[in-house]
Amino acid sequence: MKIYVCVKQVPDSAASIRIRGENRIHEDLTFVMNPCDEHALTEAVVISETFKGCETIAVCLGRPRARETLMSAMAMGANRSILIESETDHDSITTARALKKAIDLDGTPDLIFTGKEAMDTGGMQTMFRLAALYRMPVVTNAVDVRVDGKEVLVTSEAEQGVRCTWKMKLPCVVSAGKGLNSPGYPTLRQIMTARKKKMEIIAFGDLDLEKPMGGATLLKLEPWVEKREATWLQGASSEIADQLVTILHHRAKVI
Amino acid sequence: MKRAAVFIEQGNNRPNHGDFGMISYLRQLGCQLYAFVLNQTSTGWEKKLADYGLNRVVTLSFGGAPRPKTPELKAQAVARAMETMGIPILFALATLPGKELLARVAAELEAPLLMDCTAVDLKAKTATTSLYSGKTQAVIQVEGNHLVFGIRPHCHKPIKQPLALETEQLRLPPLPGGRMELVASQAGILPHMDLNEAEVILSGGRGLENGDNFDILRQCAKELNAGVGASRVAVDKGWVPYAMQIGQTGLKVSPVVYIACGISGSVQHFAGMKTAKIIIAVNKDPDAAIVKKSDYFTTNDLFEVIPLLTQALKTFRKNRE
Repeated sequence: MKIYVCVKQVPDSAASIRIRGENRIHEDLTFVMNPCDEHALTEAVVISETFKGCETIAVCLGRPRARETLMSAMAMGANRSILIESETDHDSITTARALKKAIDLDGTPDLIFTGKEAMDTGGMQTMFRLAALYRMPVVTNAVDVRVDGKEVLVTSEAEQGVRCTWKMKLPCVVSAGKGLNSPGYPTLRQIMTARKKKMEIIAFGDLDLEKPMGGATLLKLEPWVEKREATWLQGASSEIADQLVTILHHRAKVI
Repeated sequence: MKRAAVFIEQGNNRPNHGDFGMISYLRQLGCQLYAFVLNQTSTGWEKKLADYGLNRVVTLSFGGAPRPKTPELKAQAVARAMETMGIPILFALATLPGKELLARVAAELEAPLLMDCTAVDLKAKTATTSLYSGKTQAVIQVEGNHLVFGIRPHCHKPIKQPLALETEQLRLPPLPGGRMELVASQAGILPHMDLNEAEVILSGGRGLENGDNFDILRQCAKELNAGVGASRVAVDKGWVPYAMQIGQTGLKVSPVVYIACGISGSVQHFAGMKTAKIIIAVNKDPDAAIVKKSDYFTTNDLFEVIPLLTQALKTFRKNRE
């Protein structure tokens, strides 16, 4: 059994983003593995430990610096990894095609994991596009995954905490949500072992992808400007409550 | 006039509050709006939406086969309907189920999808959305035979512009069998309103001190018809479930009013609620980050202010009756 986990390298959540030119950012930032992908990887490793001869392979489309992210993936338990190296960003259509091509060159997936969304682009699309390309079923925002022979039971969390458990046949795609597990920090020993694991590097251009039917291009990037001016509401708490009612009624018009 | 499809999610057999604003906005883009309906029984919401600019309701049927219930089959139905009718554009509100449906349709059609748009230009084929968890605003151009857009809830005002609603039946061939089967479902752990839909959200953080104290917010939320959210600290401490988390790694919401109680306002929390129209901070610390980024703030104790607000809202309502 082969489990592929698609991971992305993203700017750290605390990083301040500075814009360069029309549509790029300065990349002198701290980059980390996308948080939801950590849940995906952790789950894949747990599952692979229960099946004899099961292999977990982390796959990433990213800059050369994404080697660090794949190194962490292997320290967290992936058996090996594949980096599709590219100096430019790609939309989710091309990303899904590139991931599929790289996986196809490597082997036949029984299970593909992704995180439920990338923290930087927040698109929530790549898992669905991968599934469509593979003609596999997909469940998103998984909070529980049970592999039972040829079937998988995936519980996903929807709005208002509604939970649905879906049965799918392998192979399928599962995107991991936050409640799935608690990823741990790798030990020093795991980090040392990771260095001996295999990381395959493929140049994006060498994948020779077909031109997709559509695409998205980032034209312009601007910093978000906060335009708020804070007004201090003062007085006794009962007076503040009355002022709030006035704001909710007159300005916000929600009551 | 260009035709565009709009998917109306009906969680509780009615459209989302945000759908009215979205329809009003899309009407201004100069396209004819067709809503696809997958369920059999109408509850009259179509007429209400026509008051805001919906042109036509298309009821889909599948050659006697049962109507699609799973997200997978719903998306296939919408994709087939767009292809059959030659409608190249799809819009829906970027709520949690909306996002999933749009992503599945876009994958099915290999169409570009821009999520959480605040503005769309159909001539230039561009849309405005945010990137890097709300730290930047981006203009993105799309190309393809089909284009899909998710519209951020509450960012456009509902404007009445009544139209005579047309209706149509569209017969599609039966859909292939689904590959995901629902085996169990569990009702929400949250007895409140969907946070994507809520016009007002009361949110609690470290300052709430424990899970039980969230009742103070819930009681006030009842008076306001508001949703209750939480910061990462509150969910990580196990006070409230993850489904309530607002922020970079949680839900991204755009309510009309966001009342942050005992929340310091980290960059990560802001990423999830900075698009709120009005931010009100209740925080004892005048130096907290949330205070500087709010529209109104008070440094009085939230354990005093919120229960008094609940009382004041009750009085306000009584006086109006």
